[in-house]
Amino acid sequence: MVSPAIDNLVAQLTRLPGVGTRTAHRLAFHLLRAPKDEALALASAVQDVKERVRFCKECGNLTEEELCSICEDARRDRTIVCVVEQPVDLISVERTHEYRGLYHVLGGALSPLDGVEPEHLRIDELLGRVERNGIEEVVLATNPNMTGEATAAFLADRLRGRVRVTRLASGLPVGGDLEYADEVTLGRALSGRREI
Amino acid sequence: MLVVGPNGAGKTNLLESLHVGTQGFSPRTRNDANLIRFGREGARIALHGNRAGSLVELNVVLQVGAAKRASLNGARLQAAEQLRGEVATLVFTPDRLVVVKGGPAARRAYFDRALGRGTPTQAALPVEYGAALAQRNASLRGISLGYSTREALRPWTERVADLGAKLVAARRDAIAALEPLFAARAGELGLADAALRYEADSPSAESLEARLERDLDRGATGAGPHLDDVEILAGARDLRTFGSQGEQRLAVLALLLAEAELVRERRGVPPLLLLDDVLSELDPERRRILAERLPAYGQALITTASATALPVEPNQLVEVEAGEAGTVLR
Ligand SMILES: Nc1ncnc2c1ncn2[C@@H]1O[C@H](COP(=O)(O)OP(=O)(O)OP(=O)(O)O)[C@@H](O)[C@H]1O
Ligand SMILES: [Mg+2]
Ligand SMILES: [Zn+2]
Repeated sequence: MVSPAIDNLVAQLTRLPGVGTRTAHRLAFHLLRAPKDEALALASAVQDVKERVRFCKECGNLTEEELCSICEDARRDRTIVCVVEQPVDLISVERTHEYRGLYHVLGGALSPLDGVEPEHLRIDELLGRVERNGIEEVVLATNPNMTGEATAAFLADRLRGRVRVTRLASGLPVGGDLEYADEVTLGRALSGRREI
Repeated sequence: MLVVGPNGAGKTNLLESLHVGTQGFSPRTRNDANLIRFGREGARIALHGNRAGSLVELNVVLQVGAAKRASLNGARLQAAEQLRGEVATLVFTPDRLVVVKGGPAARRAYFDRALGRGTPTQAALPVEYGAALAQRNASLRGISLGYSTREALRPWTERVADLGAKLVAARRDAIAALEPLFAARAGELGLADAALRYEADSPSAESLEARLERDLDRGATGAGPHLDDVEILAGARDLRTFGSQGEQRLAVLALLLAEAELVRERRGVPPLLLLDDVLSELDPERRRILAERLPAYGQALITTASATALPVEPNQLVEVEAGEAGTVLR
């Protein structure tokens, strides 16, 4: 390579999901050619996000305050909580406009192979919210793949008897990720959720 | 069609290229770079054929450092492996003898692939079961080491039981469908009373719970379809231990012909058969029977180093010679 700085940028970009060396080179040269302000705007956006964004104290969603905008929103239905693996899944569910309740972000799915055990997810926090907050229904919206299904089964065992527990209806591509499901499919799955 | 040529001429290479060209992958290697001629940047396989009266045109392009590309009748496919759903090809290579001779794992792998070919919606089942099993085993070890709990094991036990029961049922169906055809083809080839025996217990969450202490001790799930075997028998003899070389070869061949019939029944079109070095170790009488039977299966290519190995019409003979420019086909 011509310059260690470019090498370093390419190496950093390659660490992003879905970016191979070829794409990383393209992006790096794009940034090199772009006006200085534009390129630096990206750098400072990355910095802002890392400095300002944190996890909502209540639900684990991303926020710049103590509580996220959804937990703060007085119009949301506080008797129902939708459990998702990641903040990005919450965004997918929001896009359907079908759902008016609160969320709970686990921060992943159970996977003993990867060393992810219940205590590594925000499961105790979920059980605490169900105890305290007058929640009547928990919708399990973990991904419809192996680890997501196992996580849902684990949570259902913990929650049964304390609260109504539902799971997103099928219609989702099996083995897929919530993140990539289109709004229509996901909306339909939501309205057809079932008790488990 | 008989493919004849001296050792190292490229007969296996020709069959392999037909497999890649019709299925999108090699039966020999997962590393596509091995398929490209040494020192070259890429390879291309273009096939024109006739399927149930309509023309098919297949193209597979391999390139060093890039994903392979495949097209069917000019339309680009998302993944080259999608060709499998379009064109059926079954292959015999001497490596396949492990299906009879090898350990249970080789037979499980073979019958699991066969069930996937027969029922594509279940093709992922063996892999899914394996994934659930790996998770349950990791959880068992985690409990022994003190960083996981029996509560956290429970959902994996349920997944393993559920997928395991489905896998056992799918294998039973696949083997039940193959068995009578296998016995008939083996009989014609002179292997009497051939049979397949799959005796498996379907796992359940209860049966797994019942053996939990033992599983915790070994740090692995000690029962289930990942430990099953399919016996390949001639009468009371298990051909794995008591079959002669030739009988073992006949059994593998009879399995392949049985599957070819299933493919024809289910898809309405017979598969392309690629038989590499199938004739060695077979006596002249059995070669004759095979030559007689094969035309009924649609198109078949058989390689041999000796032109007299099988009596064929001259227009059914392909000679392969080593050379820079490639092969000479007639
Ligand atoms: N990627 C490659 N590029 C060039 N040559 C290769 C490549 N891979 C294998 N070969 C060579 O191609 C030759 C032909 O091999 P092939 O296995 O097709 O011969 P064959 O006709 O089947 O011989 P046999 O009768 O011994 O089975 C071999 O000498 C092999 O080493
Ligand atoms: Mg060969
Ligand atoms: Zn929140």
